[in-house]
Amino acid sequence: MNNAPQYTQKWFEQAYLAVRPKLRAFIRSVIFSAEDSEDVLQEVAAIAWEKIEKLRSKEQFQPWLFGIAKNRVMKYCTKISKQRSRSLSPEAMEALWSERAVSVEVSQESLLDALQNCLSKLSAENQSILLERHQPSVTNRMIAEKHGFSESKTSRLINTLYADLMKCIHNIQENS
Amino acid sequence: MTNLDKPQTKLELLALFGKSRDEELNLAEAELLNKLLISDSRIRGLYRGFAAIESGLEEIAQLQSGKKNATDANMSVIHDTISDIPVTDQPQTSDSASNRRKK
Repeated sequence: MNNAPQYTQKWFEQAYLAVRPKLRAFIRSVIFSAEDSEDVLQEVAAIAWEKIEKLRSKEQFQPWLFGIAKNRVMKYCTKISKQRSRSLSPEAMEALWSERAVSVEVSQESLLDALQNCLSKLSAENQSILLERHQPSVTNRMIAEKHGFSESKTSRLINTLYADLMKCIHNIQENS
Repeated sequence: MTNLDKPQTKLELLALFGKSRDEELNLAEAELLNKLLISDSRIRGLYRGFAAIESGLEEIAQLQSGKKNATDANMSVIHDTISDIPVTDQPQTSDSASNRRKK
């Protein structure tokens, strides 16, 4: 006799969509390639739906999904480290992932709110540079050419802006 | 021992992370980054902060570009990904799902 709960496709899609921002940030913390991380996200959704009858209860959906994601990410890391000797090693990714699991309950929404708040404190030009840089397929070289900077100056500027954003977000999170 | 309180050190690490993101690390830099990440939890924290900002800026850039409604687009991708997958409680290789995705 099968006592497993029945899950509809509609329930799955809505439950997955609710967890997706957090899951995406989780995967992106170890896979920098936006394209590859989207591929892994799709794989996780496909595997989760394929194995949905193994989910014991709706309340367990998030940790169960993150377990699937961890397996997929580690497989990705192993494959990539064999292909590209200059990528992160599986050991480094495991270390990153293990600690990430502890902070999985950190709200991605509150991080985004803090990021938007901190972004608004930058000059209009610096905001524009950062957001242009994070459009798909845009490189530092493209930004440098557009704004009349050298590539190294652009890299230094973006790194400085990242440091400013990190400090600002840290201050907001400490005071909340 | 790395001192993250020195601004230059933090900027140097961010530059290293940026090269990793852009797949521009040389072999020595890749070895250094792996060594630092395995051995120093503060550097792992900085790396995760970098990745979180990277991911967040991508989301904000997408939303501000007006190219898509994020929620609707994500729902469409999820629906397309799973709609032709039969549900089973039999063990399957993850590659079977992997091969069916990416239409």
